[in-house]
Amino acid sequence: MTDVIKIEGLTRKFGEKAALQNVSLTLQKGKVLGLIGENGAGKTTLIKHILGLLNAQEGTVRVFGLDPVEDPAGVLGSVGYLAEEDGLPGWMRVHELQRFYQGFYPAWDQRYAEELRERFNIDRRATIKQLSKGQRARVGLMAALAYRPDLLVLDEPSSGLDPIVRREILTSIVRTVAGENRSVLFSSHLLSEVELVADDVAMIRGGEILFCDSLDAVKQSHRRITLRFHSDRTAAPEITDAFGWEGFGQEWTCLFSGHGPTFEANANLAGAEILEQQWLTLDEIFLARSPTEVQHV
Amino acid sequence: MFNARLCLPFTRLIFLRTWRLWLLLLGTFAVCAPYCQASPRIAGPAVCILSMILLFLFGALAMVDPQEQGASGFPLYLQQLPLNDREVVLWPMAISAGLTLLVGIAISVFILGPFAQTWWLGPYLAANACLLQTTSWLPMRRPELRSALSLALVVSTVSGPVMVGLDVAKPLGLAVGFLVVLVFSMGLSVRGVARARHGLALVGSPDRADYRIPSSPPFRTPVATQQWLEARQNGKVMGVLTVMLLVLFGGISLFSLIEPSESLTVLGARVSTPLVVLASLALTVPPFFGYGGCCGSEKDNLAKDRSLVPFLALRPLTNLQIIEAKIRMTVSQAARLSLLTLAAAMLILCLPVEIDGHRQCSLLSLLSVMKSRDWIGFLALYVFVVLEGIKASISNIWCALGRLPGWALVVLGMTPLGILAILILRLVTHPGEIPTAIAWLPNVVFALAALKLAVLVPATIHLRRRRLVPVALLIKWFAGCSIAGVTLYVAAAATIPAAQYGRAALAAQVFAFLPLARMALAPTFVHRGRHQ
Repeated sequence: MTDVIKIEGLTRKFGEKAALQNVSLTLQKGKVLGLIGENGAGKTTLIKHILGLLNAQEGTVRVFGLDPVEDPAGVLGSVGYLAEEDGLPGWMRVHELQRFYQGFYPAWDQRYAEELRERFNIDRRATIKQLSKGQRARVGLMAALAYRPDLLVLDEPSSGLDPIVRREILTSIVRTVAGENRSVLFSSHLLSEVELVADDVAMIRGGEILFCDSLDAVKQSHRRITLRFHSDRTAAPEITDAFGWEGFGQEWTCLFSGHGPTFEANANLAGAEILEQQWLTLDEIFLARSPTEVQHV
Repeated sequence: MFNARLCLPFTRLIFLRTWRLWLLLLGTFAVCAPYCQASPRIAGPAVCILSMILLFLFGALAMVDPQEQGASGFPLYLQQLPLNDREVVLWPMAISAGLTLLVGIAISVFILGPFAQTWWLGPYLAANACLLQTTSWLPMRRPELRSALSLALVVSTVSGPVMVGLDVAKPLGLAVGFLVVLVFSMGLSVRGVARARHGLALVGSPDRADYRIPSSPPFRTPVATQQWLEARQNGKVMGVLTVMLLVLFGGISLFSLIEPSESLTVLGARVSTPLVVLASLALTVPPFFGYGGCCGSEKDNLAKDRSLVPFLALRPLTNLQIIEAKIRMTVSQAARLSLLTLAAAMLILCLPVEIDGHRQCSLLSLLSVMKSRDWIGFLALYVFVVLEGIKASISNIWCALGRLPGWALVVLGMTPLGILAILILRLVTHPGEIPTAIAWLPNVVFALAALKLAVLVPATIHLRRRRLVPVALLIKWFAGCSIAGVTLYVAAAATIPAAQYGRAALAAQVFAFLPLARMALAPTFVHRGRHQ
């Protein structure tokens, strides 16, 4: 499969603060990659690198095999982008916006743009500033889709879109795009949506990629396991790849990410037997991996 | 009307948090002011310094939150206070009016003097401060209206002292007029802010149903698209500004009432100076706005540098294409607006003009004003401006890094007003120079227009060969500096003789033209801004 995005060893610092640390990521053609992470984790910084808005300090970023900083025209001409903050000019009317985009993207499909506009229930004559936040997000989505980009980048689209658009339209659009052998990078903290549309999932925290794999593999590698120890314990046990311990006495529950048989062997060594195992939802994995949750546990 | 309990925190909020620096500067100035009166040698620089402080103070007094065009600029932190509309509006206006009144009185007493003749300056400044607030706070459906109102404000700013200087109006009558303006602006502000605060519909809102969608063909190229964006954004304002400037200068010309002996003889016919001024301005004002493209580009750059607005930052263009688009925008806008007027300007510069019994072409008479020491001064100033251009480029880099502080942008933006304030103060104190200043104004504008042509033609030629875009940029840069240098010197030497004007005022003029050089440099830093 062709790599649409290939990032290797990307590091970015703003002053002393490291926004991205040794990030490596791949998005293949026809796939939907869900990028999840809490606010300030580095999602938008990563996306800015992909769009060529930031120069890589260390590592490499390739989109369609091109360096987005060196060849912005080559990359951006095939990328559709919906930002959290659109920055659309308030004075512009919807039909003027369509004409404006048409000037920059030769592949702009006006019929498709009109179809989307009608589907989103947007008045062509309205100025952008007359639209609500949700309507503006829909206009942004229309503009990002109408030239049928090979790569669609959605940066926290859910924050602007209302539940109807999120559930029915966005989901179906993302799947349609992927179905046409185009790719989607979907950044969100609404994990149920990512779970609905994503093929692959990458979680970023503190500028580091914690995992990047197919959704099924991620889900299968994360489990909630209940253990019974042979004797009472006053403190949480230490077993490799297990975290988020809860419990007291002989029965303890932990979250686990890794190779199952290895964990089983390690638990036996620690004097415990596995009582129950549960697969985690993406939401639970995210919460388990977030630092606040770990502290709480 | 005023809630006494809230006055103190309100005052503290505004004075200590917003204006402390300017108040400190004003205080320092007040301490030094008596020395200014005692020594005429330092009065010139003092006037310049005071003008700048006043400009900053006015900027701070306006209390404007940057909003989208058309929205009210009334600060959000004031809107949210638990006060009714009158209290929330009138209290800051009262503070502004009171403060500027005191400043005006201080200037009358310590600098301009005698107080008996210049006492009207206090109410004058107070009325203008309130008008500035009103203009900024009124929500307007059409952004052009704000430009028109701003220009009306400039007209009032300029015409007040001019009318007093020319004895057209008596100070007492004028002061009463200022007070009426002050009360009117307060009432208008309350209504405007109330509308903004409570989301009331604006008068004259266009009905969406009435809007007919024009059938426009798609743009041929990205550059054409970008040009459309600029024209759509700034085009209407440009037209309104041009008309308003004509009205402004025309008004001043008519007020000047020049003596028949000072009229000019053009091609053997005696023509009154105001008529010449009006006719020439009708031809030459538009070229100024050829810079609109550059202004737009600068805004574009700042938007990208500071917040990376995706709408602008993600256009699929190479850096060279963006630079090309910017230069093309400048060239095409300037060409559209100014080619005919430039031709007319060149023709008029060659017309014979009779001044003090000497008959020669306008251009030569302009040159004859400049003595050998003036030429040396010109050279020095040119070098200075080039150096300042380099400084401006550094500030552009700072912009690109997002580190240029807000006050620095205010300085760069407000400097053209600085020169206006200096000129006004000069003309107030020397009303006899007003006819000369007005008579030479067209020459200054012509000089600028001609030099601009010298920039645009080679830039256009080079643009046709794409590989030479950097050469066109270089030409644009140096020519931008030349324009600034020559214009400022011609303005200083011809409008008000340098020897009388004072070095400090001249230096302030140099400073005033820096934005020109900055505009010329803007595209160079697109790459830097785009990728940080």
